[in-house]
Amino acid sequence: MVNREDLFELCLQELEAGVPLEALLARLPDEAADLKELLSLAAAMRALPQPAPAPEKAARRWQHVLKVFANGRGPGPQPNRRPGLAWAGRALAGLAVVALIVWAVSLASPPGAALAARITEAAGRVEVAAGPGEDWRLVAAGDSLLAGQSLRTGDGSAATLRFADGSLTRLYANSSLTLTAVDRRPNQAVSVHLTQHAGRTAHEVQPRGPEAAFVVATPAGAARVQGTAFNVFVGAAGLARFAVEAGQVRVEAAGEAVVLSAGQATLTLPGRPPGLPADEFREQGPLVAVQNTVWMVGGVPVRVSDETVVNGRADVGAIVDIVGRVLANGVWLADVVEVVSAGAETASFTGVLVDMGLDSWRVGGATVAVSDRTVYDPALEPGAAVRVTFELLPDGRWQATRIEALEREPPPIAPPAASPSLAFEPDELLVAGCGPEFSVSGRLVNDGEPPRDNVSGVQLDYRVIRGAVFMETVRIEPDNWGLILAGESVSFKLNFSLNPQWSQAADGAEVKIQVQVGEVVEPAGESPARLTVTVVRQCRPAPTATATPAEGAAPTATSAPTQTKPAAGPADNPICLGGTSHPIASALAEHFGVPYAEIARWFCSGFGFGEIRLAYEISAQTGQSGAPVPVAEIFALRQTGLGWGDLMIQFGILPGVIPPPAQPPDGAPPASAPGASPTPQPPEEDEPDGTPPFGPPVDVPTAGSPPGIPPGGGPPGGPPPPGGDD
Amino acid sequence: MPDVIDDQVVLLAQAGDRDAIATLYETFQRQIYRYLYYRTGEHHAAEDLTAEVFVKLMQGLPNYRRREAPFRAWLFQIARNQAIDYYRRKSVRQHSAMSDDLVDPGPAPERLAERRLTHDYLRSALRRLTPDQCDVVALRFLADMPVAEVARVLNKSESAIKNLQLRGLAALQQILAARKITYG
Repeated sequence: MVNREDLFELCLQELEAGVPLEALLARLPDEAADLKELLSLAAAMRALPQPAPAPEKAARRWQHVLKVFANGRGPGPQPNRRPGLAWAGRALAGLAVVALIVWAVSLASPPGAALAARITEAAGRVEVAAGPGEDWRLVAAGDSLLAGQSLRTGDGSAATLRFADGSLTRLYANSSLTLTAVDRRPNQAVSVHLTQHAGRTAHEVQPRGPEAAFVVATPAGAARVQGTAFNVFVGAAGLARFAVEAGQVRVEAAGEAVVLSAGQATLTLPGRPPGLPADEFREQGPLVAVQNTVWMVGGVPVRVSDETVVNGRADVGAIVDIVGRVLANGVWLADVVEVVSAGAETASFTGVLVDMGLDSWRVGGATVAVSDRTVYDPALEPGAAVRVTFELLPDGRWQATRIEALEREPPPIAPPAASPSLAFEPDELLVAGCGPEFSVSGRLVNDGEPPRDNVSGVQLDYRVIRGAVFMETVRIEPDNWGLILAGESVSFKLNFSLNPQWSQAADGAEVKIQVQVGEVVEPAGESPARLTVTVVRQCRPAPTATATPAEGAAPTATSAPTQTKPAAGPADNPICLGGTSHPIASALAEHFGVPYAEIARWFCSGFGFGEIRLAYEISAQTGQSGAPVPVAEIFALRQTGLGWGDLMIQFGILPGVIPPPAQPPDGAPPASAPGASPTPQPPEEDEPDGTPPFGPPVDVPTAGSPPGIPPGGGPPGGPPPPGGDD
Repeated sequence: MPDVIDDQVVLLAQAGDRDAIATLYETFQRQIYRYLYYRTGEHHAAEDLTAEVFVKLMQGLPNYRRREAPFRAWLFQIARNQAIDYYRRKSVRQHSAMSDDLVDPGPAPERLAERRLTHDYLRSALRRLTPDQCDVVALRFLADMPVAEVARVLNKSESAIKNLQLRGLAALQQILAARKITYG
């Protein structure tokens, strides 16, 4: 007899051997029907496109592996477990480590490394000068550039330098630089200092430690790197532009520094600090129109400024090659415009992948169309930095042809958030109604610090925490977002319908739904954000009450209470006899700015001080947005049987708005209503679980409340008024 | 790229052949990354740990003995140890067992729109499994290892692996169903 585990494994092996899933499922016995679903899942998992590290990342990690090992970090080989051969084991292990270090170095270093840069490419006119003021002489590929020497290229020319550690520097046409210093460190790393005077250079720098920096200085700041690929442009006025292809570059100017990551650029001017890092764009195409500072290149508007460097005559119709930055407001600002003789139309930009729709993706502030023509890494996720290469479609949309991930290290100082910085605002919502359909709007806020706390892959979820028996359907629209930037908020709607049992429930019946952040992709973790939505059944029309407290008479209401207080006349209580001034009544009168006699009259009409306080608080709250509801009307409604929670709902007062009562002052007599029993009774119950749903907390003193008010609703000594909150 | 490596390549790597060691990296770095991606649930951590695995590989290669474990099983043991160390260093919660929040408390058939299984959803769901279940599912179905090899990696019996495999998939199926994620 084959057990389930073995049977399942046999099925899996058949799947692996190529048996079609359908055929396999058809053969499974009925008693193993539950395995069918699991086999389908196993097959689906194996068929999934799998994530993979970006190729350029893999190459860099490999370099990292070599570098770490070459530096001898980490524990050595395990000691030999045979004591008699311990010395031999150690010796062999040592040899092995030496051998591995040699591999690492041999993989990372080019053959024939020397203490200078080798000119490996010299196309067109390429010249070297021995020093400042020295004559220029033509050089060819294979020549060297020694420390202190300068190199320049002419029109249509280019040159490439290779350093001993394999790092490369390419000079484009009309560019010049000086190899200020080059130094080989004991660990084979090469320290390079270049000074770029003009033109455009590109650098591919091998990973290195802090002791072997690669620095490119310009008249307007310097770039310092530890292993990366980047470009430097120096304009006629000393303006310098730094742009990073991979890794990170620290740009220093005028005593300040910014760190650029892949796909970012900054501009520096002599004597001024570097600009903030910005995403960059590159574009080549015909200059279609010029309107003031806006140039239309292909179908893309590009802004030029006084700092834009224009090389050549940029007339309408010319083919221009532009590099620039994408500003925070979405404007594409040109940094360098080169007029070229010819070239295919190309356009690309970098940014953060915000949203991945079915046929369009949002990158930064731009939307690009995505189709089966688009080449991209399936491991891409919202939040990733990407470079988008696109074409202009006839309808004006941008068709992405390639979307590639850029490796951007997290900011070096600010650690990533430990948990998503999300919060619902507000975090409680209250609705009252009679029908079965409800809809409320909510807002989810990312209150983290940009850019550290950007959150991607947010999924909302919900739980019914009370009244699930009434629940029919719940929909949250939308219920997920690809990316919520720090400081950004998103809105959603919670639509739900209740079943027929709701229509038969008593007024005051409740449903509570808790909306929560169910899933966050990055940063992975639990979010404590919760939104509680309370729905209260409220079908009975609110009665109108016109009574005002009259001397010696209880307030009247349009509907008579179904239950009355125990027979007890005002004469039973000294307050009502006019002989005693009760400190709580005095405090209430002072707090609410009404005569003592008014408070006393309500008290002598059968209401407890707690109820009186609530009535005045509700009245005061309604006065925040218009004419206050008279206290008499509130008492009249109370006497119809509505609970205090009902009343607050009716008047639109949110839970927690009314402050809790303070503790009685020392020496205050018990606040018993007339005719009340001397035995203290608990306040009226609001909820079966003892939690008041909307009423104020009853045990926390608050500075803004009158002192000595008993908590809750009815007089402590008397029975609850008719029809409590339930 | 083949999933397995010829013993000769390993021997050459042990002897210091640079092409052999590069071959090991090329052959296994994607598998290791994929396993660590699902095991840690974090893209960047998986990349960093993959590099660390190969650092450990280079350090340990002189002592590797074929008779003690097949090379791939040995390599994945390193990867698994790296994942465990990662959680220990970070003091992060490794996995949460299936909890109440996955159990729908009330009837709510329209709670979530139906979604197709992606590696991202799978990664998220795997984090709900126990570490052993996650290991087995990741190694068995995402690294395509046979049961015997998974048993070597995890130092368990084959019957234990089969048991974990079945229970892990069943738990995963429940998690995906609760999230209205479809497949097949």
